[in-house]
Amino acid sequence: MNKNQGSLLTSIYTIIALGITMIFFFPLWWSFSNSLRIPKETFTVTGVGIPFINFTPTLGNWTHQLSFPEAHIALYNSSFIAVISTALAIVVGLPAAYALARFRFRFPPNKDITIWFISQRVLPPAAAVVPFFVLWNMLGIYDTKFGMIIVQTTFIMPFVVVIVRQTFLDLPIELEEAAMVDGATHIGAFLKVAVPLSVPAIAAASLIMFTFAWNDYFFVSVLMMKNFTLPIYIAGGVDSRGVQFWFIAVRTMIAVILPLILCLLAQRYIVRGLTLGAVKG
Amino acid sequence: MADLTIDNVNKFYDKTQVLFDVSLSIKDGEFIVLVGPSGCGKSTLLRMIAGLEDINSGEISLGGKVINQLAPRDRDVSMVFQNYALYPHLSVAKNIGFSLRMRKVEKSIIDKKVADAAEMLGLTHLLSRLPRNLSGGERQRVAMGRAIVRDPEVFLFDEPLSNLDAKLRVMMRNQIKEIHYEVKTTTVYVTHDQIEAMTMADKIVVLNGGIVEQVGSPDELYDQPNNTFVASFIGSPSMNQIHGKVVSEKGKKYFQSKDNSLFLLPENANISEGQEIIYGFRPEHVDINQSASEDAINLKVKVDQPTGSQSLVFANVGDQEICLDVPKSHLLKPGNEFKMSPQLDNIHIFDSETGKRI
Ligand SMILES: Nc1ncnc2c1ncn2[C@@H]1O[C@H](COP(=O)(O)OP(=O)(O)OP(=O)(O)O)[C@@H](O)[C@H]1O
Ligand SMILES: [Mg+2]
Repeated sequence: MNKNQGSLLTSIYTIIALGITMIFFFPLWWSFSNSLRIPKETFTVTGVGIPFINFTPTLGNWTHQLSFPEAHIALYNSSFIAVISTALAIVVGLPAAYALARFRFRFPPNKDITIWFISQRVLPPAAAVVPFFVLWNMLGIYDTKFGMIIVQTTFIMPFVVVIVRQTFLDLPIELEEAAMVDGATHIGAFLKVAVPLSVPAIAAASLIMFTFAWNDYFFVSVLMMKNFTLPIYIAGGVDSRGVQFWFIAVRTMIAVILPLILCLLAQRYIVRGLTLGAVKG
Repeated sequence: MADLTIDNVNKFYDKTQVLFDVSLSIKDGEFIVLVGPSGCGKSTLLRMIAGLEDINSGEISLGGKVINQLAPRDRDVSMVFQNYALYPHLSVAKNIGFSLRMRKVEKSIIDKKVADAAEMLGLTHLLSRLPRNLSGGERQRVAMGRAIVRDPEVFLFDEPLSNLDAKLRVMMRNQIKEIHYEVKTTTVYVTHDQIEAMTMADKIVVLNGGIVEQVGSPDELYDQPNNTFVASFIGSPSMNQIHGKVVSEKGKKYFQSKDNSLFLLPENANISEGQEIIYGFRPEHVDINQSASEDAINLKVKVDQPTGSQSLVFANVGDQEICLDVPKSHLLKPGNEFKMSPQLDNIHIFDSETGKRI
């Protein structure tokens, strides 16, 4: 294949990818557009709803929604639960990932433990929710942020374990050995060498975990009542007058903003080639 | 003070044994080279001294104290790894100072020691760089710096020069010897390159398949190899080894090769007529043409490889190829015949069954 054909193919792929992206992102765009319209324009605006061209935008829905205490509670609960769960999952999951990468367990063997972690993600949440409900009631942590953090941590931890385990496996073990000969304990070698070198993977896993905890609807809907989070709040935009698209649009946008910012922040850590230069060659 | 003793050490990976009853005693300040073919267990032995591998049986002691159970950090050894293992996220200065920071040495002392080590290795202008921005030779020197900054009881080197080009390797060989001369720290140096072993060692340990074949000074190994393995491993090009048996003729003992060529044997050799032996002589220990003795045999040049003033000449004795390292001569061109006799003082005789020196 010559170079021109190559770049032609690349252009075609790019156009196709762009088209598909637009189809997938349309609902998000529609929400954004809708959040800036007055209610009666929801279904009357023509075109793809570009502000200033297809309609005159207003921040009315935003100011209305943001003045509600419920919005603040939902935003606060969501952030608190997602951040703490992610942090907890990393604190507990990193040593697990390291142990799976570096030590050999016999009963059960490493492979089985890894599969068990993955199975937590494969398991339908509905299968786990009833036992949680009963248990959480017995323990008195039903409808508490604490209880919700435990649940979220349980279900997002497999991400950090599986992703970072692979990164640890790819690190030359001599780096940690060198640290130990140089006077570090094994834990010191883990903290001073293995973890800093896995920052990109840890950042990527954190982002995924945060998003999962942030987006969870199912567990919150069953295990919380007065304490609610953003997904529940979004769904709450339906009342006797029907679906209030204009409010749902604002709430959706609020729910998207934080993960988006985190994504942009994490990007600079998710760079490849951090281990370059470790070994000769 | 820091004698290193290895006593009957065995090592298994699962059910495969990779070291068999290895015993060595290394005196304080000695420069020991472990040499052997790839996969013979050199790195494994070194890693056991460092505490990175379990010892299945036997004892390793340092300064009279058994260190089998000590963690690597408590052994006071420092190691240069086969692949350098520089910390990629730390600058050269941080890499070199790592062990001192781990030992909570005062900041000002760390800075001074790092500066000294960098000075010694010519790294001063690179201190703030990351390993990924260094050349192979520079990385190698950083790895050295990390080892010497701490003045430990023992240095462990695992093939530190194997990835450098020939010129740099010779330079680093000198530098390592210089450093050793200066600090006089007990050193165990692993290589599969016998020239490196010969040029650097006080004492060479030849390892083969997890077994210590011979321990001795470079001269001892060169002059009196214990067996055919050491004979062919030490020295370059390898010693010629011809199979055949002992015969008597005119009151003298001769070695008769498979094609009935006769080579004179030393009179004091402890062998009897009819005995199957391996007859060994080094390429450089032969006389040819005018200087050859009256018992010389006739050979025909197959290939010649000039190496400067000398030339490596290959010829066949029966179906066995031999190599001769002789002064270059226009007479030694492919197809030419010449006379050759091994020097009687430098003949090595081995039992043909056990390969042991007789
Ligand atoms: N972790 C391990 N598990 C199983 N076998 C191993 C392990 N490490 C090494 N071995 C085996 O032990 C033997 C000795 O290995 P070692 O690394 O000590 O060789 P070496 O002499 O250093 O070789 P080289 O010159 O290639 O570095 C080899 O046969 C190798 O396959
Ligand atoms: Mg090795």
